[in-house]
Amino acid sequence: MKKTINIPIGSQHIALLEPVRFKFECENEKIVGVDSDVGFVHRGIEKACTTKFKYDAIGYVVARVCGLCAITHSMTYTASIEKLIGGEITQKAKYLRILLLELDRIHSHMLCLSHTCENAGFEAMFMRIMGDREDIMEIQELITGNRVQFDYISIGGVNRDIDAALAKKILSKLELVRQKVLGYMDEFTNNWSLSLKFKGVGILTLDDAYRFNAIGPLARASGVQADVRNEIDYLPYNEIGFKMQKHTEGDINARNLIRLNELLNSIEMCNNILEGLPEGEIFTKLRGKPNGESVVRFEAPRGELMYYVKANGSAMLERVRIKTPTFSSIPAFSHIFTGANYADAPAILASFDPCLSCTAK
Amino acid sequence: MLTSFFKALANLFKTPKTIDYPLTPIAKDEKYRGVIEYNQDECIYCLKCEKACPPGAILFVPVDNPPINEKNKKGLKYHYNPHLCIYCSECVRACPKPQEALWQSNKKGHIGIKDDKINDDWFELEELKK
Amino acid sequence: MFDFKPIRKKSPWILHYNAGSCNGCDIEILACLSPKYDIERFGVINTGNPKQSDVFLVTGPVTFRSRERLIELYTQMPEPKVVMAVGSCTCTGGVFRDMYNVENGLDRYIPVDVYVPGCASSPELIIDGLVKALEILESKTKEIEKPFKLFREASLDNTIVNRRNSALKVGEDTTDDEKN
Repeated sequence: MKKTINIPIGSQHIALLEPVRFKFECENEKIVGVDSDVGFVHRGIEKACTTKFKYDAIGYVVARVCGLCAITHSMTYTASIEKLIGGEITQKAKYLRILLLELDRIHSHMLCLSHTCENAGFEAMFMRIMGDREDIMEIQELITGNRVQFDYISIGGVNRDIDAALAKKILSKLELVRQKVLGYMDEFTNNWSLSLKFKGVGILTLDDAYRFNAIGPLARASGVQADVRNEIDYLPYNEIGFKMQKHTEGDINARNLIRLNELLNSIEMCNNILEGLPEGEIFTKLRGKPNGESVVRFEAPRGELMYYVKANGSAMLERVRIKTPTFSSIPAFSHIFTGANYADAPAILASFDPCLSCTAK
Repeated sequence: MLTSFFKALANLFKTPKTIDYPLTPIAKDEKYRGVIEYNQDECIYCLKCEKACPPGAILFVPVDNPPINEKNKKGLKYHYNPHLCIYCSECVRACPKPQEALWQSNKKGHIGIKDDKINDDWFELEELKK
Repeated sequence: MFDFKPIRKKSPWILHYNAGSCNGCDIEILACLSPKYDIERFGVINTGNPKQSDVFLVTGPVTFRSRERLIELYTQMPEPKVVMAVGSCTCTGGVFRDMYNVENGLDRYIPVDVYVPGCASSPELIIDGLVKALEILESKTKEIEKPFKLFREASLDNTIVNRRNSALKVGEDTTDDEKN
């Protein structure tokens, strides 16, 4: 007689936005083993980048790998091509690129926080956070023209400009959002029934984080000091006021607090950029075709993203390889699920913030 | 517990955040990225927009009664599919006459129904191209 | 008998399935349920249960791995139902047209009623598409409830051989319909 039962969370489930299949082996409500199946979203993008598209159109194709971190993919690809061609872009274009990257990080973290609250049963908080997130979507629509996929970065600079009247409108909206986020901090730390669901659940210790190679907010909540924005030099992050956040407990509550603190830091960085924007052109035409190999890393909202590009002087590239953050965190997932209660599984899954369409591109 | 009761009572008297969409129309900014529009008389038939489009939503196909223009030597006609377009405006940046022959408006695409045969007609046009 | 007609068109329940998309259109569907563009005031609830829903929302170009689950969900939904394809990828394949693991559009595989364009489609277009889907649902309801004798005028010889032939033909028709 078998002692364990298999329970699937299948590819269509109301708690998941994306198709992934987990099979849990449970013994009387405690999870004993996990079997995961990703790969429902594989579309064949890397092969098509070398046969169907030319090197200047790939920036728009690669942005459609994921809808939440779209502009990070586009930015990393463009940076690797600019390294191969050689040539400088203006300071104003660099600051405008950072502005949009940080706005993208703000809306992605708000979506993750509201999804975690909904899976823990607190639906009123989900509606409140989604209602305040609409201000950020309006700002993105005023700057770039679309709410979710902004095709803003091209090789040599950016596509649209910001004038003084628009900058004033954006500053007043960001101030409203900042007051609301301070209200959420209060709610997440002092609410008694939420702390029963979040404190002490789904713990990842410091040794395990080093052993299973965790990255992103997951690792920073356990005490690892690793952030790619500290280590790069082609975007001026050290001039705007970037601070790295750190906690030591490693449970769901610590991950939520890290995301909230990163939100406040991003709003401060956007304010600094808008007040001190220099004058200049936004686009310089770079001549020549790419030749050679290059590797570029950047920090997406979920961890570290890496691109490897190989070209040989013609309009078609030879190889494009993408390494996404969720793909590196899958061993850490499977380790945290063993030993937890079955009823906590949706809340733990949402606090990881998985982006399956990045994983199986 | 008592604070949530007072908050709920205060929320009863504030203005709602919902916009009553189909009854009150929402005005769009003039720089919103909408459908691409085309002026037949100004076009010089250089075919740069067709090569620049990533998904291939613009096709110039030889037909029987083509539009009359002195630059149109091979008898081609312009076709555009708003259900394939990704609204990136690469075609407008590649065109040599960007505001007169091809430009991006701020209207949205129309909603198709089964009788329009959107996918089947486009496969036929791609066959004619080869 | 309790009359379901005036109730059935006024509050449809939706079922949402992601068949391989980049998640842009899924976030916009989630934003439709949030306070600014609230479709819950029309009575729409997002359930995860195919036996209780009227409208099927699909996003993403259909990858080869997710076809099996799509067919199971489509056949388990009861009649009358409406299928809505949200986003440019679902209508015709979008940027992913002719890649090796992708079918070019949803209507190569199941019959579709409403196509909503955009990359990613905004919540205002999704609400417009839902209103059109409600009109199509109402006309389908009227067609099903026509009286039986008027509808089957053509094959009136009710002999045993003809009934057996028409029963065999019914089996062939459904398998052809699903593979289209």
